[in-house]
Amino acid sequence: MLIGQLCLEFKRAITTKNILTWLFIVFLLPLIAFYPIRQGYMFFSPVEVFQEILGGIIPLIFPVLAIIIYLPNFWIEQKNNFITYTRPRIPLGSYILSKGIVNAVFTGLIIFLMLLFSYVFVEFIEPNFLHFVQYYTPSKYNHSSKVTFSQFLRYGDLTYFLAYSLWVTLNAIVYTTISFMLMLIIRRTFIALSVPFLFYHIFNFIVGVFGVARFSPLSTVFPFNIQQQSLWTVMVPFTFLLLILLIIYFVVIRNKEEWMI
Amino acid sequence: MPRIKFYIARYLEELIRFKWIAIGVSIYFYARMLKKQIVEGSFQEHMSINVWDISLNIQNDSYIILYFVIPIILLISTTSILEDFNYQTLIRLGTIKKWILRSLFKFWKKSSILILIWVFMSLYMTIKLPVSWNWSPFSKSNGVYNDLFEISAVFDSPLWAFVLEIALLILTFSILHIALSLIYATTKKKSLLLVFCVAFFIWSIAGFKLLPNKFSFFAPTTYFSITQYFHAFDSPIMGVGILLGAITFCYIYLLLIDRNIKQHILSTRPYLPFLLYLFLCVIGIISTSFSLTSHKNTILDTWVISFRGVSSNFFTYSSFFYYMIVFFGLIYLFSMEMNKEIDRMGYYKIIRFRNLEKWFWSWFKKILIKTMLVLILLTTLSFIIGAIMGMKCNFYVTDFESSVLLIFYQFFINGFLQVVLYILLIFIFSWTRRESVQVLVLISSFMILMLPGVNPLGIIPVGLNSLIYTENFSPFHITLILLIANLIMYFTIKYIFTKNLKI
Repeated sequence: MLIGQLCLEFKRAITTKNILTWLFIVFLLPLIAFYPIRQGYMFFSPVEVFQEILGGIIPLIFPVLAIIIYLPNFWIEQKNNFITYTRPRIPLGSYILSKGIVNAVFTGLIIFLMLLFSYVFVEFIEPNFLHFVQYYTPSKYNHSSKVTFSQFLRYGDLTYFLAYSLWVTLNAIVYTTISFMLMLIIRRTFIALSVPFLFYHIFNFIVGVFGVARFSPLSTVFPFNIQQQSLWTVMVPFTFLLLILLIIYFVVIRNKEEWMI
Repeated sequence: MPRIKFYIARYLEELIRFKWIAIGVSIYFYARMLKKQIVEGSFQEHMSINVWDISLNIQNDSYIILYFVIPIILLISTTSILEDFNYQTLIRLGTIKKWILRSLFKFWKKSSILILIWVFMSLYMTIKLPVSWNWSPFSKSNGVYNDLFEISAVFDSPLWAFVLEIALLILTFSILHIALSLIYATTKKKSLLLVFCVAFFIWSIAGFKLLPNKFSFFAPTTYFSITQYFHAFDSPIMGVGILLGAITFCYIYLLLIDRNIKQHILSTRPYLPFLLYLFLCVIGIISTSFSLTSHKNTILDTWVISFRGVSSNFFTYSSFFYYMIVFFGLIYLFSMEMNKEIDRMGYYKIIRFRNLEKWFWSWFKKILIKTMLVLILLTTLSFIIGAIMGMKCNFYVTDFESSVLLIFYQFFINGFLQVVLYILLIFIFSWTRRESVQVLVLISSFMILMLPGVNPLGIIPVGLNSLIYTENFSPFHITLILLIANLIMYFTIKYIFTKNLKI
């Protein structure tokens, strides 16, 4: 029953409006981020262009990206009391579970595709067809600065890309799932949707105030504004997030009768 | 008189019970070992010892405290709480406060025996040692076997250390018991009490073994032994302060426990987001004032540097994040309010007004007043925090080129216009699109427009109320831009209102 529902949800998620939003996120966003850095920067390798693309505007809108990919669909169903009428057809638990899975899968997929497109763009499309970026050869005084996760670079660009983009995808999934579960227990959807957004920005501010910016969500998910940190630092805010996720999960499971549907 | 005799008899009866004797015997064996160690140590260093060396060492030994006294005290405390907390007793006493005081009394009846046995054993071990009222040469030496070096420098006579050790124990035990009984009385959950006890025990071990000396005020064992207490604090006043703080906290809680504070807490709930917002603002101002130097900067500097914001030429992450927290936080709060007005109250309120514009103004004017009040509040707060941090109370700005009046103009007039513009934009989006996510998308796009290099001419009306703009732009130029933008938005709203409404 769950499998069938999942297939149905996948089919239902593919609407014109969603496709357009997703295409915008996957293709246009990296290009918009690429536009201001196409000239006037000193790059030594395509990976740096990739990092610079992700270091610009995407970190600021990351929590919003995580919630606009699929959650508005669920919100509309909630608002129009659609879910109540699915209950004769399918148990509520399976329905919500399938929604949660579809939400996580699509959010993760779109964020991953966005990173993949950026990577493919800087590695293959830009140097072969467009030639905007000038690459310099590293010298003694000018060499690329290291950032967190570039520990993986010695295993090759592709390994670095895979490791890093999986990390970003994972974060996006956690953010969107927190929002999704909050939508089930908080009556005001606006607040439920904005929790990841608020968490992300307030946490950034607070760690900045206490002078430990290396633990900020911004610098751990998109670690291009600070120098290289060891890999364990990224786990600090992530562990915190997982803890929140776990707590919300237990609250959601315990209040099954009071779900907002 | 017979009453007192009866109590004493009961107390003595309790004293000779098997469990206490067992505890006494176990302390005896450990104390003998400790005594042997100290005597050997004194022989090795060729220094004489007296009764106080043995007795104070036994009383201050961390292992006895950690693995023996703390578990027993926790056991006594929890059993007395769990035995005594029943509705018959509560009805007889009337209030929970009285019950806690009574339970403290009962707790002391038992735990005083523990202290008594402990002290007795520590004195019993001193048999055959020279009696003296001064510190021995061994305890004044800085040797490996001697733990008393630090307190022997503080006190003239070891008797004082002995008395203070007992006073410290009484204080700490009382606080511990009151805290445990408060936890049980508020939650009424057995499991939580037990979890707390286990956590306290583990925390004591971890605090004793792992914490460096700088943070040893976190470790509970510090408050059980006078030697560790003086070892942990440079000035003993601080430790007294922590203990007094704990007592005051317990006392206030004790006063409040019978009141129905849940109602009061629930009544503050609507203000919670605003309080959180204000708290974040205050943190930001405080962190700014830490970065200033008090003899050079004025209170106006605290304000100016806090709300400096970012422009196309000037960008730091800290001021960017602070601008986001202050202004976007404010419009987030307002958008929550607007969300209420449009989505939840809209149905009921709009039909009561003759046209949409009257409905719009009915709540919009409140937002305008609130915006101004928040701006004034932020200024006052930063002045107060600046004054507390010891900045000079002069009326000039040291870090900025532009004049004070222009900065005031920029902050209040342009700040007001800018916030109003944000609110109008958010209103247009949430009115036409009916999706609350749009607000977050809009705020995110504001953030992007504030990044360096995006707005070099200062034409895009986002983030123009940053005080840094007074360096390169005339505030009147900014006012003009913001006014035009506001008017456009206002007429857009008027136009939207003429279209059919879809609620």
